[in-house]
Amino acid sequence: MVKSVGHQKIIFVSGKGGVGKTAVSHALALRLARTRPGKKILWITFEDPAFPPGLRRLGALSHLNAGFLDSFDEYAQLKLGSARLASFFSQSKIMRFLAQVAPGFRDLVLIGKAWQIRSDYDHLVLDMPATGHSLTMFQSTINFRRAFGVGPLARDADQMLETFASPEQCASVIVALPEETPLVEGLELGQKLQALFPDVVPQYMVNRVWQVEGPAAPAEAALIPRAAAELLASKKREEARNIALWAERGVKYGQLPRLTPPPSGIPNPVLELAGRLEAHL
Amino acid sequence: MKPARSIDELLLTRELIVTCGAGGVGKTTTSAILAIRAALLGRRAVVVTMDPARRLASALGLETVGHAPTRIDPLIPGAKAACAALMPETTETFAEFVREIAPDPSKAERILKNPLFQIFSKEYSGAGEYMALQKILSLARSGEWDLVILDTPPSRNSIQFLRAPALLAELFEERLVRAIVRPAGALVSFGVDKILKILESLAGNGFMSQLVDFTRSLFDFQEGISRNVREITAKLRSAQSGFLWVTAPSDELMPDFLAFQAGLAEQKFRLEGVAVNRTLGYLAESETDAVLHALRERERDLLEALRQRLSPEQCLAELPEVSRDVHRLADLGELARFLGGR
Repeated sequence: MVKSVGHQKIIFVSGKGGVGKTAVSHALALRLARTRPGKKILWITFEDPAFPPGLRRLGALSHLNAGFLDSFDEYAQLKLGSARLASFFSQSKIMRFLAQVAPGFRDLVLIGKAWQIRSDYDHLVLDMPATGHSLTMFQSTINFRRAFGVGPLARDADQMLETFASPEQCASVIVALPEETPLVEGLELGQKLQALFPDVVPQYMVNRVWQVEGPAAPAEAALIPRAAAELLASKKREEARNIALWAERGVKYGQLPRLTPPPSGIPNPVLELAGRLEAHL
Repeated sequence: MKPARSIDELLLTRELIVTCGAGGVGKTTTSAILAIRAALLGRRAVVVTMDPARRLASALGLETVGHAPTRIDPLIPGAKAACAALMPETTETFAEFVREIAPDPSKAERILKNPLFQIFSKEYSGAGEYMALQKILSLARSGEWDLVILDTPPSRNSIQFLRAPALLAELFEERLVRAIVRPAGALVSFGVDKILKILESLAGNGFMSQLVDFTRSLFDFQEGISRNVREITAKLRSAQSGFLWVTAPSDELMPDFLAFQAGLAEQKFRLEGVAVNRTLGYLAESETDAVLHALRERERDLLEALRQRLSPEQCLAELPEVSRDVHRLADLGELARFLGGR
């Protein structure tokens, strides 16, 4: 799988909520930094409350936790050529309203920020929002492009769409867990993304795989087990059966192991995850 | 300060519970379990979900769940009252809403045809949430249900949509908005005029005329919208309504919870408590596996941290991790019974 990822400038990491997109995208960015010394790597999250907003240095990487208002302000400044005018504009109630009520607009500004900043870096890895929201992020660019007439905004939207549709510039990684719903949803997401951008073929990845031993057992477990050992045994059995959902459809995918979670308050072992990624890339 | 309320107490006394949480925590399943639990306790309960992936339908094993309530209690052994699931179609609800509050039918059709409105109602996920609130008003008015459970779409800013009604009302006071809808030739201040010219130069002529048309149409609806906003806000703030945070058993989602808690307080909505999903604490033995052991430790830490942050008026519920995917109504019924027998 994922062989081609890393040559493109922009890597989108998406999937259902809770599958570990943040950890996987972070690990991917770290891996790029390690295997391409001297290159400038940017990891982007969108309005993640776990990080301070804005751009910062994060080890070998740069990290941008993009926020709507800042991104909008910067874009308005760029287009209007005046900070004063831009802030008057971005602080007006109509902007606040559009931002709060029409996440389509919010998404356009956020993804636009990532697109704008791309020229300052060699590679960007984007921690995309969960499934449906991830799609609206692209869809809103398409919609607003239709709503805009001719003008600078329409030109920017055109160029953004051109970038996102180019397999030379963009790669798409879809992450799932070895559970039925994330796997099914991941596959659907991949198909929908490809319908929007046909040439960018999504790459698939199953995260937090316990350890698949032998073939999937057909027996169905009791829903609520009594002991931890029983839960673990049925999880592993279910896992093999679930991953088969992808294998049977001919999906090529990579796997990442379920790492022992660190104690509370200690960040995820992203470095270790990055190490495990190399085996696949 | 320790949470002392039980989830049953909540289900027995409230008329509306809004479940919120980050993506992937099992919010939809939890919401359905709560509705079933309420029906087991004898309350007529309906769960409303805005799930575009139709996960509720597949979790319930019911592909027919749709715009109108679908009864599920005949398939739940022990249900003492009606229980139903409902998945409103956003665009349909939006159109219904627009027609309901329109001063006359031609004005409704005009705004429904505006391209900007179409972007708003189809793409913007906030539309789903706003429409869900709308649906709740009509369910509450019907008098057919004792308890409505609203499952909100996963969102990092799950609280944001609650601000939308108020912002919509404020919008009518905005100078810039008034300038957009002013009659041709009316004088506006230099600053506003400049902003409008800039907007036009950036977004193009066509966009501006759509925006003017859209904003003018909105003003036709001002009265209806304002009335609606007042009604929704009053409903959400009433003593019979409250919010429940659903989370995975890991402290990684603590920042999301704290932001949610602060957002609710700011808007004077009541947090009823937290439901921690997929917990391992109920399982007999431990230390079978390093990963499981670490997961249990984290879960204990999270529960302790939550206890510190919740008051005796609030509840802290634990739902069990299960062996396999939930895809039958019977599974949800089993979980609903489990929730009470601990």
